[in-house]
Amino acid sequence: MTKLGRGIGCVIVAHGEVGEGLMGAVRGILGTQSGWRAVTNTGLGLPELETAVRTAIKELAGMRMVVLFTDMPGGSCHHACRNIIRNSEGIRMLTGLNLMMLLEFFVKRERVPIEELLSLVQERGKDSVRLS
Amino acid sequence: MAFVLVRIDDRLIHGQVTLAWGSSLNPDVMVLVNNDVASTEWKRELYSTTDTMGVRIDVLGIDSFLDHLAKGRWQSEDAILVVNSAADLLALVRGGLSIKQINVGGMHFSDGKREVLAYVYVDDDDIRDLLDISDLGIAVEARDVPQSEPVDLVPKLLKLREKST
Repeated sequence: MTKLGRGIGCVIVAHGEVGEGLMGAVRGILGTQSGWRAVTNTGLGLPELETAVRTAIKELAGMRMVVLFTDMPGGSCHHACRNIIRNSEGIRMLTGLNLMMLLEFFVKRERVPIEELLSLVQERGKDSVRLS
Repeated sequence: MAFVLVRIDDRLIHGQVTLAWGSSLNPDVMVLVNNDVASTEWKRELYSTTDTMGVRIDVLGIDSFLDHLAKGRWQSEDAILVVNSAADLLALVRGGLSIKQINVGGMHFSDGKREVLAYVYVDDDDIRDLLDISDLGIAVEARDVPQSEPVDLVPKLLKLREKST
């Protein structure tokens, strides 16, 4: 049986107010969402940031799976999360966060299998970058 | 099955429509009816290329929409219809659009408008047009996204009308 995305949480790990700010936009567009946390790296060293992310993941303990979103490949948020997913089951990470990725995630997370969800979110993120 | 959502939204087709309503209703097409957009090339292009998660967008002026409607276009499709004002929607209803309910999703503040809800502001013309729509036996409901509770606007509009007379 295919694993469906029901019970998939997310932790946004990003610079400054990016996480809370993007979730404010998601709320405006889709309505209030559950099963998410936003962690900022502001004022935190790598070990503290990693602890903050682990705490956020624990708070989503009821979720079958947690996806970490980080804003910048190679940034401190990304580094902290890489260390977490290295030895963890059921935690995946998507980097290069933008608003369309989060919208796609929240719209589709209860509708498609997890691997398809991750791939859809990735494609949506890339596809939303356009030049006019 | 025709129109699964008929919406007044001054932003016309945008994220709440494509993502929130689109994913909840799974329409075949989004029909944008607006004379200005339909007759201005760059605006038409802008809305025609909106990211709708794969749903087609038809952009038409009011007269053209009513022509196509009379010929039965969209009757075998699930369509979301969006206009940006109560006046335009009233014109569609008077022109032959038959519906039971409208959704008010966004009428934002501008000078001289009074607050009904955080996303619904009206002037005297809006109040008259919305109540005219209601008088035709059509439910006038405000709801920005499917997750929100629907709000019957008619009692609130009647109260505002009393205050202004």
